[in-house]
Amino acid sequence: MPDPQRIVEMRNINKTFGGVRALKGVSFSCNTGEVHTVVGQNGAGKSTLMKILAGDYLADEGEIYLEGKRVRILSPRDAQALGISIIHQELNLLPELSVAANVFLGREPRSLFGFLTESEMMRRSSEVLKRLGVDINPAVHVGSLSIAQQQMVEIARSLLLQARVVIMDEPSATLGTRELERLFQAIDSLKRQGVAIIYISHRLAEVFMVSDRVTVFRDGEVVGSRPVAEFDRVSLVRMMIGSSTFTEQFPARGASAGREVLRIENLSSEPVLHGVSLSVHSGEIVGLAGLMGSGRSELARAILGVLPCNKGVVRLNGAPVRFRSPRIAIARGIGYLPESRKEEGLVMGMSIMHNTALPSLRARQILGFVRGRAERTKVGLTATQLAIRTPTLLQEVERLSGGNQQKVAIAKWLICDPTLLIFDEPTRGVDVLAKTEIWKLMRALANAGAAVLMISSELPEVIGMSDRVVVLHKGRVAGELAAAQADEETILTLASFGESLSHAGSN
Amino acid sequence: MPEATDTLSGHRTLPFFRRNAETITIYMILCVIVGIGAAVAPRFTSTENLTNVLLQSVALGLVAIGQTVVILAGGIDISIGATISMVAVYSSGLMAGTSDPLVFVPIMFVALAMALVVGLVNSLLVSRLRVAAFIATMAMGAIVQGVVLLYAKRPIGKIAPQLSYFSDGMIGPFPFAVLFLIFAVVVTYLILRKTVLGRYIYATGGNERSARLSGVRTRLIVTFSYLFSSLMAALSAFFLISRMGIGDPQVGGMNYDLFDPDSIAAVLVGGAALTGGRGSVLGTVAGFLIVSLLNNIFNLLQVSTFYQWLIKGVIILAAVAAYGIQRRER
Repeated sequence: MPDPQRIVEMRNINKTFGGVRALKGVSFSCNTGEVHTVVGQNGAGKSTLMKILAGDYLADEGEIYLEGKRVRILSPRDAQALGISIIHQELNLLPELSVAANVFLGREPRSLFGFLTESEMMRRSSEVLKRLGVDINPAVHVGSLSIAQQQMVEIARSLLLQARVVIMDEPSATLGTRELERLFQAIDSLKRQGVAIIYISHRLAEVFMVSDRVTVFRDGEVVGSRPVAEFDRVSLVRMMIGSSTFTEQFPARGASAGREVLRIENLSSEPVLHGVSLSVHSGEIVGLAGLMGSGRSELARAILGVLPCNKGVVRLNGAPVRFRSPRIAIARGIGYLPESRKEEGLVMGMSIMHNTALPSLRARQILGFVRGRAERTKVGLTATQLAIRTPTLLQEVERLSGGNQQKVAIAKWLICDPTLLIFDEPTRGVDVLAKTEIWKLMRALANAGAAVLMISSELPEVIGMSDRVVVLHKGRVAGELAAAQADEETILTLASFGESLSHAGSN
Repeated sequence: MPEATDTLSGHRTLPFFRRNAETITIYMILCVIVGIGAAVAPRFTSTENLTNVLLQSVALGLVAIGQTVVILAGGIDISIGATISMVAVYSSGLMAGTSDPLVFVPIMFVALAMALVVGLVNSLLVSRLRVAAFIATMAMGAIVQGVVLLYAKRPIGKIAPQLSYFSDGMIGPFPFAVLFLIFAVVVTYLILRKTVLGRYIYATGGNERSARLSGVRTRLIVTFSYLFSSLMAALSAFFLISRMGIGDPQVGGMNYDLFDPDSIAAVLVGGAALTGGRGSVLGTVAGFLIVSLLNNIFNLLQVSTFYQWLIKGVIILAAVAAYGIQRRER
């Protein structure tokens, strides 16, 4: 392969967030006409580096060179002016405006008197879209387009900015197979026009389809950067994992599993879940792993009756159930900790006391009146048990730290004495101490006889906590592993490719 | 973050003043306004005048309580004015058509039922069809006002003599209507602070998705809030026709210039957040008393309506901005 001109070079970049070193002297470069894929586990530092390049974050140390010249990127505006554009996972489009208006937003061509020149905008945006090889009418509203088409509009936008470097942050997470093909075509045509593309992805299968070069991040460092041809699936997965040493302390596993509490048979909820089967026993923690968009959280919602199911059966303690609302699921002994505590887990403006008591209020009432003393006692006990650090339980939860907020979101369900607990990302955005406490608590709950289904993106957590691991891939169960078989390589391979590799071997 | 670690020493309760800082502030402002009134208008402190102020706050007070519940649950109701007018003209009009002295009771129930239908439709629009509360209730208000004008273009009917007890009756030294308002405040206070329903109202307004996932039937809660608001509008209308002796098709205000904005102003001045989940009925009481007191003082001083409107607007803005600053600082 010829070595084209180097367009971007980042040297010795350091970045610290509140005492945690997110990037430790990272160097990275990208050539014109190259698709450079960046992979790594959650928190490896890949997104941080790209946000520094796009001007979203400022590096603590390090230099950035564009075509050999040193540049300073202090804001997203600076990055744009230099021809660096980023396409975020959540698209930044105005759904009520036309495609053309979105493409030209902020840079509208004007006539002599300052009026917008619609026709010119239409003509030029349809030109750009044609160059990308997509057929989108620039006059239609962006809101009426599919996600993939909206992505094309974003790409057209960056082309019009004369972008020389386009960063795509997980563009494929929400795309189907056909749409993905179209994205790759567009990437191809960008490439031929000499644009450098930096492609962040968790889906390793795509990495082999689209990249010229792959850089692997781990724990804030670049651990390898090679042409894609020098990788195979096994070596890529191994490089991402490394010989990671667990610093976290996980509680010891408990007694053996008891009776079956939850059984899901062939559950489908098109288009996200396709015939998922799994079971969780009393006294057991089952880890549910999978990439973003693999249907992990959707499975939890399907069980609760928030997401409608087309097919399949959910059995609770042997009896088939179909909940019409979370209220009924709660009454049947299910506790659900949602992924986002701000949006779904807590009422941020309410006190610790009232948040904690919310799901179990019905059990503590006389003729509709809340039994205040019973509530204070029960919540007080639980708060102490969970070591929620606060001067008073009347404090609004929005004023607590992330770890304490998460404890409140968990405390809600402890009070209900559930037989099945579904925890979606139980330790996301939580400090190390609170993490250890939450892990201990989960194990204690299981030991006390609860069945626990734990959804997590953190592989060490999945491996450290689970008695069994179920891996989802594109809405299907890709594999089920006993605790002894569950290592990062196997889980990551199943999650990324949907199958285990015969020649993967064992360490 | 002002968090101390004293989990083991037990959880204290916040000092009374810090816990109720906002409510105490607003009551202090209320006292200041009373003081100003006493200073600038000698007649202000007379027993008749103060009784008059309280009587004048009954109609607004009732609907402001209803509005509080709707806003706490995350909505807003601007069909209140039209609902008042509807209940007023239909009950007085129907009462005029009969000579039987006791028919006024079923007539009031019919009018009340009409109001509840408005509340029910509001809640269906908001919770089932997901129409924004502002738009849904504004449109309903327009429709209801149309229904009112269809029936009467000018004040009509007469009021059953028994009904005038609502506005004129006295229990000992206290006007019945004022006691009735206090009763409504107490009941609403108990619902909001002491019952499961009240908790659910705060939770729904604070974060509907969280509340639903915690097992709250949020749609039912929203429905309750609009029905409650309509009930309060109907009671307010009964008071108004009792006082005026006739049903005026514009008594609730045309072009949304009376009970809708005033009730919202009272709730906001009382410290509730328009986004829901935050506020209290005691704050609202201070809110509508401030609005009524200002009207009274202006009238005593014969201030022109121009300044009345202007000062009212400034006070609403000042109150809401003050809360905003206070909350940001914490």
